[in-house]
Formats: sequence, C-alpha cells, structure tokens
Amino acid sequence: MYSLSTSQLTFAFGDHRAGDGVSLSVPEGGIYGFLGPNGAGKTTTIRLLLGLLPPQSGHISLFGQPLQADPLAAYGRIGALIEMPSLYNPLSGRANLEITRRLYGAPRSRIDQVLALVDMAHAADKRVKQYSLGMKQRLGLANALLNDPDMLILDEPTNGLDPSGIRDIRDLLIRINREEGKTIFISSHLLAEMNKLATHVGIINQGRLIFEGTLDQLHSQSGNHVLIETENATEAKLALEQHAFTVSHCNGHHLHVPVENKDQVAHVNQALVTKGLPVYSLRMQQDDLEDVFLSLTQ
Amino acid sequence: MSALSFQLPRALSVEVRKYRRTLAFWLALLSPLFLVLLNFMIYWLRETPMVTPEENAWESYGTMNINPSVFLLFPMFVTLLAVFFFQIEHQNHSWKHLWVLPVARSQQYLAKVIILLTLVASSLVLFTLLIWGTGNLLSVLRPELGFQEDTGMLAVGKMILWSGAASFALVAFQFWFSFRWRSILLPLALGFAGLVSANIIISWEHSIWHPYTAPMLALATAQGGGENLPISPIVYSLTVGIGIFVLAYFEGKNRILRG
Repeated sequence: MYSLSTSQLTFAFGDHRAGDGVSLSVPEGGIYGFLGPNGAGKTTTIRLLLGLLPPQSGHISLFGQPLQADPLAAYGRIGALIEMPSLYNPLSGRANLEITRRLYGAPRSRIDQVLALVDMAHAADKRVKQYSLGMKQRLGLANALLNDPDMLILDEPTNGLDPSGIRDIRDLLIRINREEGKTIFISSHLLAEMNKLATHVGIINQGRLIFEGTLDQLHSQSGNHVLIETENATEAKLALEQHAFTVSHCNGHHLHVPVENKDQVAHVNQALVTKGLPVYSLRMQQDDLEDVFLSLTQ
Repeated sequence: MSALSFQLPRALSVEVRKYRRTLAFWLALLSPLFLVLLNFMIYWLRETPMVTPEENAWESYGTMNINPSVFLLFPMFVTLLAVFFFQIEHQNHSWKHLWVLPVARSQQYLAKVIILLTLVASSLVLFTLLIWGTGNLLSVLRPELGFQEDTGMLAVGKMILWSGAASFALVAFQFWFSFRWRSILLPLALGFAGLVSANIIISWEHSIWHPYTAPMLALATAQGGGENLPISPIVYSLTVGIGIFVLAYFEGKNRILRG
C-alpha cells in the first residue's frame, strides 16, 4: 500500500526539465529518503506533489486518490515543511501554531501535544525571531503535525543546521515515524543522513528518478574498486585506459579503478608495471554508499 | 458550498489574529490622526481665524482635512498599507505553507480582501470621528469660529463616504501589486506613479478613466461639482475594483510561490 505515488511526472522551466517522467512510490509507514544533488529537481518534485506547481504531464496519487480530485481532502491528511519553515517571526511559537490550528480546524489541545512532541514547550511563548534555526525547524515540524497527518512531506529539513541540530531532527523524525506511525517523505542531498534515517530511497538526478528501492537494495548496488598509489596518477590513468579500464577518480598520486574481481586487480598492476610506472600500494575496496550515489549521479 | 462557507470564518479569524498590532494595523489607526491633529492645531492656535464670517465652519474644517487627504495622503496611505499588509506573508515565506492547508486558496484570498477593505474603512470611519470630535472641541476652545452653530457634519460625512467608496479601484490595484510582488519597491513606485499621474490629468475631460482619479472626482461631485461625467466615479471604481480583485487572484496565486 502506497501513501503517495506518481506516474511519469514531468515539469520544465523553459528548456530546463526539472522533473522528467518521475514515477515514485512511497510505501505507507516508511521513511522515504528523496536524494539528489543540489539542483537535481527535488524541490520541484515536492512542489508538484503538493499541488504548488501544476505538472505538465503525469499523475499524482495521495492515499490512493488522484490529488486533483480533492486536493483539500489530501491536504487534510498531510503535513508539509518546504525549504525554510513558514513562520511569522514577530509572533510567539504558540501564536504561530494557533494560526495553523485554526486553518486546520484542529482541537486547541493539539497545540500542547505537538509542542511536547517536538520538545518546544519551554520556548512556546517566546517570539519566533528569538529562535535558533534548529528551533524554527522543530516549530515548523510542530506546525506540520497539528492536524495529526498520515504523512509528512519535508523538503531538506536539516539544511543549515549544525551536526547536533541535524541529529536532533533525525531522532525526532524517527520517533514520529515509529511512535506516531507517520509515513515520512523527506528530501535531502546528504546521503549519510538518509543512510541513518530512511527505510526507502529514491535518487533523482537532472529531473529523472534513477534509483528507487529499499536502503538494502541501494547497498547491494555497490561494487568493488581498486585504490592505487603511484608516482604519476595522470600517466597511470592513460596507461589503464589503454587497457580498457575506467578510472573513476584520479588525483595526484592516487587513482580509483572500478573492478569486478581479483584477476582484474592483477591485470591493473601488470598494466602499470609494464608501462614502467611504480606502484607503491594497491588495495581492493568495496564501494561505500557515497560511491554508489556518485556513480549513479555522475 | 457548505464546506466553503465554513472556511471563510476560519480564514477571517486567522487574518484578524495575524494582523493584530502589526505595522498595517497601526498605520490604519494612526494615519487619520496625523492630518486631523495638524488641522486642529491650526484652527485652534492661529490668531487670524481660519473661518471667515460667511463660511460654514464645519465645511471649511472638513474641506481642509478631506482635500489634502483625497488628493495626496489617502492614496499614499493605501499604497503603504497594502505593502505592509502583504509583507507579513512575503517576508515570512508563508504562501507555500498557507496554500497546502485544507482551506481553499480562494477563501484565504477572500479573507485578505475583506480584512484590507475593513482596515481602509475603519481608517475612514476614524477620520470622520476625529473631524467630528475635534470640531466639537474647537466649538469650546474657539467659539468665535462658529462650530457650535451648525454641525455641518452631514456634508463632511458625505464627502468622506463618496470619495472613500470611489477609492475601491485604487485599493484593488494596490492590493494586486503588493500581493503579486515580493519587492516593496514596485508597488510603492506604481502607487506613487498612479497618484502623481491622477493629479496631473484630473482636469482633463477623460480623466475619469484613470481609476486613481475616482476619489478626487467623487469628492468634487459630493461638493456639488463633477458635472458632465460620463459615469459615476463610484460606480466606475466599484466595477473596476471588483474586476481587479478577481484578476489579481488568478494572476497572482501561483506567482507568489516563486522564490
């Protein structure tokens, strides 16, 4: 069962395709990490999902219903935090929540519940302009939780936060997912963060969804590479390319060369030695998630 | 329809909560005070009486307050008010949050229209009350001016009501400009350009088609002039204003999400 799914979603700003046939499926109860480099189309996709941009083609389905059929009913079941939290700085945290609460028609008691949930009860009566960015993000999350939504849609909620702020938001989201049973769709360009948080991952690059699956499936995409230290990496690169190897990284004295097995490692060594290039060290490694991400997005 | 009718009171209560004690609120409250207090001081303190024996004190005092207001201060007030009114949303990046809440965007927009018109109307009511109150005070402080003889407030009230009603299109245009642009410069520049151009062309026979002249022409009509106008400035302003409010919603509702 999917809380959110899209089919062939397309949107372009002039010639730039920010969404190019995006078909994604967010399983109910999961944390879906929507990954991609800056400018890949994450925010545009989120704006499409929320009906803030009209798709040029494709369909969006929220809780099994087309978004366009009854957007207000869909908005009643989601909470969203898009880029910077939308808060009225001259007002207190509580007054901000009261504004959103009235628009949701949620019970008054819900304000104290969400303040406790995001651990902001102590600062509720301070003006928002006195808040740190981390506090604003937590209040933004409280705002998104006021209607007790089935799903949260969050666009880079850890942007600009320090490591401790990032950890606080991560712990909070895990708690909201596990204890409150909310499905979470979260965009980020921080792979390590999604590795700690997400159950499912979608990777977007240049407007196209290039991977979708569980975190384990992403890990299983990883291969091996050999890390070489030599006198002159540029010459070594040329030598290896003559033997049909691909060099993924080349920097000063070091090269990364993707390989499939140990025989290829020996072949790499032989190619360099035959060319008269000294090999100081040669180590076979498994790609980490970053390598997988880079190989998918570059 | 029933769902929508529940949404408007919700949206209105939020707008009232949001604008309490903001810059827009104080501007609406304090602007009428500025002009009326200035004229009150002149009428009270000037040695040579401001009212000649053949003049009606209330009409003289009313005109001294209303003319500079209609020809200069009121359009500036509306321009500034609309800018302050929308900056609270633009500065806090609120549109993307408001537009994904389960209250129709049209209802939230309508609530904003109603609240801005209420602020303008409240300011005009306060302006009228201040003229009446200070006029009565002058009847005590400077009895020789003749304020106690004939209230004359009906004529003053008519001038304010007519010019106020005819400012509907002006309010609608400035609402649109401040709604659609995050920048404060463009609405301010257009507001002042509208005001200056209206003052320049006011004596031209086709000036009525410039919506910013409508309050001036309506004031002239209330003062007994304004003959040969092809259409009532109030009717023209209300018609154009309604059209602009509708157009502004469809033109601006997606545009405001940019940036």
